[in-house]
Amino acid sequence: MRRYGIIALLLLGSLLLQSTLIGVLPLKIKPDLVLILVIFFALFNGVRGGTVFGAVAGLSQDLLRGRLVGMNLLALAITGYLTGWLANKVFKENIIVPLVLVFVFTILHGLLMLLFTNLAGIGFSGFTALRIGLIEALYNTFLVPLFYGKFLISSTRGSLKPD
Amino acid sequence: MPRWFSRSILGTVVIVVSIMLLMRVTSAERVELTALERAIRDGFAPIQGGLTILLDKVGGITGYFAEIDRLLADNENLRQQIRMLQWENNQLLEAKQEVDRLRGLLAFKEENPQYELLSASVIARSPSNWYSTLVLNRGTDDGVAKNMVVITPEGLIGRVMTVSRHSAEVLLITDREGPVGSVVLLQDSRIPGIVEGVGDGTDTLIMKHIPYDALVEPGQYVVTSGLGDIFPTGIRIGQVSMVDREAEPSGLQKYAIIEPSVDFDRLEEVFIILNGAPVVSE
Repeated sequence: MRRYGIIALLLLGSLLLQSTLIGVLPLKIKPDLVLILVIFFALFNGVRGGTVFGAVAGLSQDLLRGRLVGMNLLALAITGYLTGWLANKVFKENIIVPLVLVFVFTILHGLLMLLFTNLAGIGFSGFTALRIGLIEALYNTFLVPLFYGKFLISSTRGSLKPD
Repeated sequence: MPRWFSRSILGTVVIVVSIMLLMRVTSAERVELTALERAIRDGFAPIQGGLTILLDKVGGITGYFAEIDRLLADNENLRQQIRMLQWENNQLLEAKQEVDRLRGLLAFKEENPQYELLSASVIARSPSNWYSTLVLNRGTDDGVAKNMVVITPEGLIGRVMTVSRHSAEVLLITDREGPVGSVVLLQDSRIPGIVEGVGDGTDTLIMKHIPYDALVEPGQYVVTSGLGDIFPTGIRIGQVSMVDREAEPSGLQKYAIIEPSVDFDRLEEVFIILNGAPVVSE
């Protein structure tokens, strides 16, 4: 139960930081803390945990925005699912793993957003989506070393360890 | 009179008289010193000079050690004062910037009595790179409703997309979802077009559906046309920065890149237009 409380607080903190501190950074394209959190969580909680947490995180973003509800839900749930599917096939203690996964899945998340925004009739171009995804992927990857160590310890021996 | 007495008296008198004579001679303003005096002075001068310098140095060194505690304390005090003054200075600069912004907003409000304006502060920004929104600290309790237009004295910001009791989310004109019916102003001729965000993370706008033969040049202002029932007419959107001579695929239209009048990264206070859309021309 405590574990769910902590991860909910982490999600809440990420959402708040994303719209305040990260939002006012003088960057046109910004890192995505919620996406990083979903990838980290899925890495230690498998397909089911990753998908559910991705869906909850995405739904939170959608509800905060109040428009096109379901778009972030789907994009993050799929990202969580795929990360969770890979979780048992990779050596999580190696820092290279989360670096590569965050980079690749940020771009994949970008492609999913491209697909869903176009389905919703917003119509980003492929080039624009790739540009956003690539720059965001670089920022997200850069942030991995700052948080991964703590997340790894909490998820393997600490309060975030799966039941 | 004993012999020794007379001798000593005599010697004393001679000495005293000699000294008095010497005083007398040396008391007057003489043209020059005697050879002996000169020799003594010249002999002493360098020694005195060297000694004086030496004493100064020694005095300085001992003074340095004697003063060091006081200097260190002074230094620390001054550093603290600098920190305090810097902090105060920052506060004052911040307050000045706020005053300037609020003055601008007030002046705009007075110059545009046709609008019922409600000032609002930006409390959050879009958390994602995929849409461009702002959250304001005004909601239905303040009279804000969906689709109300948000502006600053510099130009158009967007429109209220969703609203709760105490907050409103604004869809910026730079978002892919927020196309604005607009008119390019060109020496009294008004060329219609649609302005929309490129959505690539920059604030660049693109004005589409410009007739192929319309004369549109960099530097021209783009304002809202009033078509579409949401945005009042005459609100500045930006300036044409580039016109693509290549036609759109249909061959009948061209497009222009628009530099927005508003710096969307620096928004802190904005206005929400609470009343309808009165017709105001630029």
